[in-house]
Amino acid sequence: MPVSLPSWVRPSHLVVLLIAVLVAVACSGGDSDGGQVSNDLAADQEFRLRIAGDPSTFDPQLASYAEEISIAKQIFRGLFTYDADLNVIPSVAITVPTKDNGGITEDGLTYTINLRQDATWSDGVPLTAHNFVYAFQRLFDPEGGGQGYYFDFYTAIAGGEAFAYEDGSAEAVAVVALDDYTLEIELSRAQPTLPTLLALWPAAPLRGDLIDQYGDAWTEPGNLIGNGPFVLAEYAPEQRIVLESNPLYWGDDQPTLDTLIYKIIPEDSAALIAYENGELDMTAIPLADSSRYQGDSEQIRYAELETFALQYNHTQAPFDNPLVRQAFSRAIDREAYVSAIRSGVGQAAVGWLPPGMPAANPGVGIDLAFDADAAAGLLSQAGYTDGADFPDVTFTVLSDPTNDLTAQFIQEQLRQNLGINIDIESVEETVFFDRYFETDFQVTWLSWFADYADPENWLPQQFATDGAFNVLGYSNEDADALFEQAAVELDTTKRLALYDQAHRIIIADQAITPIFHPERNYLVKSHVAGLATTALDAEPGDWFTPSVQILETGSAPPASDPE
Amino acid sequence: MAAYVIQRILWIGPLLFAVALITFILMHQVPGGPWDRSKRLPPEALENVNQAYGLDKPLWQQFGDYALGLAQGDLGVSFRSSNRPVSDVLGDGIRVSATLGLLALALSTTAGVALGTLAALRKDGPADYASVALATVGASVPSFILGMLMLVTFTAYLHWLPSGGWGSAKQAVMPVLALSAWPTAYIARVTRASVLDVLHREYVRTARAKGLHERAVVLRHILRNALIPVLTVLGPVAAMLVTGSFIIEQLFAIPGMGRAFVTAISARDYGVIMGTTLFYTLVIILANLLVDVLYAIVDPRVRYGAADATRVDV
Repeated sequence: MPVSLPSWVRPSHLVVLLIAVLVAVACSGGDSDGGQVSNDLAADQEFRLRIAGDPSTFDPQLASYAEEISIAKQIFRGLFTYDADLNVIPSVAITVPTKDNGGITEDGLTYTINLRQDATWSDGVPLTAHNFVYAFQRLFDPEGGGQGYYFDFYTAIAGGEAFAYEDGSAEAVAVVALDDYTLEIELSRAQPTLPTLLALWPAAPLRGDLIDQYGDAWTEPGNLIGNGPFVLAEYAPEQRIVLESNPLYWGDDQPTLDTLIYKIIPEDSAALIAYENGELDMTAIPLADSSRYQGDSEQIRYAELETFALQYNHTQAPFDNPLVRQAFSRAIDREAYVSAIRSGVGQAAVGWLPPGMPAANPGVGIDLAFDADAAAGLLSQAGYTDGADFPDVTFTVLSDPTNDLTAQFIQEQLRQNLGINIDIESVEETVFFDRYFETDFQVTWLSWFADYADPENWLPQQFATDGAFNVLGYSNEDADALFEQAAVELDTTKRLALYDQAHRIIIADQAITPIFHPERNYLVKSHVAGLATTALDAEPGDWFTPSVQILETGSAPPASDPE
Repeated sequence: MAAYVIQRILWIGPLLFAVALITFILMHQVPGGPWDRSKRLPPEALENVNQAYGLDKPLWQQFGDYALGLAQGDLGVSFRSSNRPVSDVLGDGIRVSATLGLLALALSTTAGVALGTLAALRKDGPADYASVALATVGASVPSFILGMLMLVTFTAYLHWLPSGGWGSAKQAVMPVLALSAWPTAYIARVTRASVLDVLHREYVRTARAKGLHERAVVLRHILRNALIPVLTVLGPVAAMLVTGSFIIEQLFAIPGMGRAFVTAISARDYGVIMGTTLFYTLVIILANLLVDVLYAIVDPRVRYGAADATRVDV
């Protein structure tokens, strides 16, 4: 029998451990900000942040990953945007249409939106309704936005789906300019969340003349003309992206910053050292370093709309049996998980909808929370008393140090509390997603992150029998009926109540087993003021970058102690 | 020798074609494709991008198209950022990696030969032990650890050097040192052994006997002969250094070839994988050719005829 070493003795883990110790020793040397922070603005309004990878595009219709989305949000502004509480507020539009103000017809199918007449592009050209018409036609174009991830969110717009599926045409997309400053959008089915979708980056206006002129090169610095608070000034692939404030920005949220620099630093610990050396104003705290920075004056920590869960293949034994899934849920001590594996950063989860999401309810799933005795009882009901005769199960995870530790934790919990032994399989990212979307696994570990704050983005797509992201093969007629009603229910209270009911069904069935809600854990220099975070950030504070200010350091006036 | 070199050069085309074919087949055999990421494209979008990149065609046709483009010098586009031609990705990466690599090569050759010679001439003395110890450390500490140690010391603790990036002399110091450690140790070891080997040859004794100055003995007689084995290892070492080290480039956030190559593999960026592999192949072929030519120059006994070229060692 081969002797297996404890996991932490593996070379890769040792290296991580060694580096954590080294960085800890080096960085414990006190304040790196170099002096007192005053209340005066610094002469140099430059905000430097770290991204881990190169954005593959600046095209707002193709931007799909955090760094791409975060940059697109600075360069473009759509009809609407969000306030600090994620309510939809006007941006290029004058008002948010409702039935009461006559902006939405009684059947909920036609939206009339009036635009500001003072909005311009960063090259001074006036921004009109025609720019939105062009952008929505391109959004569904198989050669434009139709190659991206997000156009699918907007297919309630009449003619959109047909164009994307290649038997429609651009002209048939039902977004029309009634005049230069009035836009009309017609839907083929009611979509109560349309205003919030129109506040997202894929719904930004675009310059058809420039895209025709430059082709694929339209997103290069100099060619890329946006209508947001910042413009793209420099792109050095794999090194940095520099944005500068847009002097022609027309919005009420005028930026204080002159320059926004995204430095590409792939290695987490190198980024932390860069931050400690004063080369960055903001960076994420690597998990291995989180206990060291807990309570640090430069730490910001806040909830995001994300849930990690055990996900089951419902089409095969043993996970086609709800009793087995329930037993798993009751066998896992989430509090212990968060403190042992996540250094206490995050919240234990028993429900799928994260706190802060409309219709989220902390009571959902409480009855299936950790309880080792109840877990053993459920497994025995399922016919596997004390884990006897339990089939071979492989737990498939995307290979990374945190996921590997997570898998070992879950494996140990199931062994202790249910008496079953599962195997762990750690798979490279590309292979993992290839297999995940083909449902080629028994049980796996993955999170879902909100694109927008509505349960519509979290329940029907994953759990409706014909949902676009129903990878698990879950099916429940009652839930399906609720999804159908909710999809077209225009009354918000009723709509959220329907989703709450569906959420309860899914958790009672343990379609997935939620384990925890992660949190953002960042370091921000004390000379950075006005960073306004939301649960829906791609990078911290990126909905409100114009409010960020850099304060003067070092030359603070002599301390006049208030005491 | 000219005929030999020409024949070797003519072999490059078929070799590249063979490598392209093998890489292409292997690349498509590996599970997962360029669009298998955490956000799965809707089925229609998947069809659209596959069409845009020609992935909807049969594999043999895709390879045919690629080979045809390649013959005309067209390496295609990156599958990750559609407006970046592979030649741009390579061009940017090579400039950075080659600069970094040549600096490291210069440093490690100078330091390695000096250390090795010193150790051999002062065999079993303190200088020998010191340089052997240094070489052992250099060979056994991974460059990632060495780089991290330097980062912690010179950036986090002393604040002398920037943490990474590329463009200034200060930014090059740590990556060049980290990258040079292993080749320095390797070259020093080979030099030491080789110098020890020639130290007691007759021609060295003759040189000394006819009263030549010690410096002339070492430089003209010992080193010139002792460097032949060193040259042999220098070819692969140069190819390795110049084409970029993923680990060093990743740690120091350097936009080089090594990082581009590994990122492309994990992202299944077919265009960049093909481009970088072919480029690496070319560099290794040329480095070996260069070393073979240098042999002839350094060692008068080596003579190439065209017939030898059938023995193509790449």
